[in-house]
Amino acid sequence: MINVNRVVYYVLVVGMLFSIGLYIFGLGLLVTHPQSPPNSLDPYSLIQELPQLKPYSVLMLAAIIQILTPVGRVVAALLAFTINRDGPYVAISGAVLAIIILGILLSLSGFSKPSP
Amino acid sequence: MLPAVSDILLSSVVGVFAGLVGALVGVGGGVFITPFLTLYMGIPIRESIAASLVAVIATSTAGGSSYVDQRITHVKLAMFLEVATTAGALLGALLAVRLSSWTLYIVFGSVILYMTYNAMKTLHTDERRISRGDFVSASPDRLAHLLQLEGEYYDAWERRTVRYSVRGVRVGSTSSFLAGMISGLLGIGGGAVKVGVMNLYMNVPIKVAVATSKFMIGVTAASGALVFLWSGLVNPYVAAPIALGTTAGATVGTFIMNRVRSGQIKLLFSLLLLYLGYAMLARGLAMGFGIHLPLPGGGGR
Repeated sequence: MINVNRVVYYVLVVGMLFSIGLYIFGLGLLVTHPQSPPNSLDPYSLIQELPQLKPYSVLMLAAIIQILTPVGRVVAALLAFTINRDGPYVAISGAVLAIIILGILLSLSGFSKPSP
Repeated sequence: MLPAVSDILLSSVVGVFAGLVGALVGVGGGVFITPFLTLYMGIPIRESIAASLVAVIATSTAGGSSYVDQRITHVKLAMFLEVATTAGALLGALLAVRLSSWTLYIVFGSVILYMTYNAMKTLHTDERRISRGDFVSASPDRLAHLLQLEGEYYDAWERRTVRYSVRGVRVGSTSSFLAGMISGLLGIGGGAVKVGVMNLYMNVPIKVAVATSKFMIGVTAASGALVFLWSGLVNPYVAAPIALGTTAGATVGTFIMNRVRSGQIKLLFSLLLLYLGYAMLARGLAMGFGIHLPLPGGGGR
């Protein structure tokens, strides 16, 4: 039996440590090598700028890891419940994940808007 | 715009405060962060909300992981209620573009003020119920038993293990659905309502409710933040110092929370509810009837 609480805990801690480390590194870079943010706050620019270790791309990567961490813990819980053959909670965590994905897809399709 | 070092430091300090208070009462702290960014730092509202969501996730991750480690969070209860809150948040977000919101502000503001009244009325009952063992003697309903929702945690103030049986699962999941709707529709009050629902209607001790809410809010915020990220509205220069600050504040807050009296946490929580309820009601009255009540801090999101 997998301890679901520990699995969830490790996912949260690893996500938190990665993002904190990158935030500190990125803010250090920003202070020592100031770089204005690009005109478009496009996460795709991350892919181009990341190898050059520019402050914007490092901080954006930290924010992306931060945002994905709670979703990661839902996925991890789903996998742990599946391995434990805990039927009701496989269904419950699967439903949470499905609703999150549905919400994102509906928002991106323009069916709802992201802010009040 | 390139942030000044003083702005980075100030944002971090505000983040520490929001993270600390958020960890003590189980909320994300967006109610402090968004007004600070818009009113004081002059950041556009959408970028402010996006940065606030990233900070809420940061505080939920830091606080949530610590409470899971301390075995206060009820992970299964959180997963179960997340179905209702995420579904509610989705419906709320869909309705937000189709409904005039002033009536909803008034309705939800009134509901939150009613919850404030109930929370104030039961300020010290958690401690009495812990000492009498009432949390465990309450009979769980069938669904709670089926979902293995009984739980326990070590209360560092009471210096004892507190066992409890979750009940009122139907009322709890319906209320959580409404709580999710409030956060999806109005972008405010998700964590506060979740704590109130668990503690007031589901026989969950206040410290477990705080820890479980803290754990849950990250998922709701992440769904919103992903959309903002995709829309290019997450400015890491704004989000990073706040997120770092909230992480530090939440980490400190989680070490304090279990070491203080339940009544003190509930008082702090009640005051926050009072502010949220009042702010929502005031905003509804201003939008619907042009009646302007004083609103410190702009009323959050």
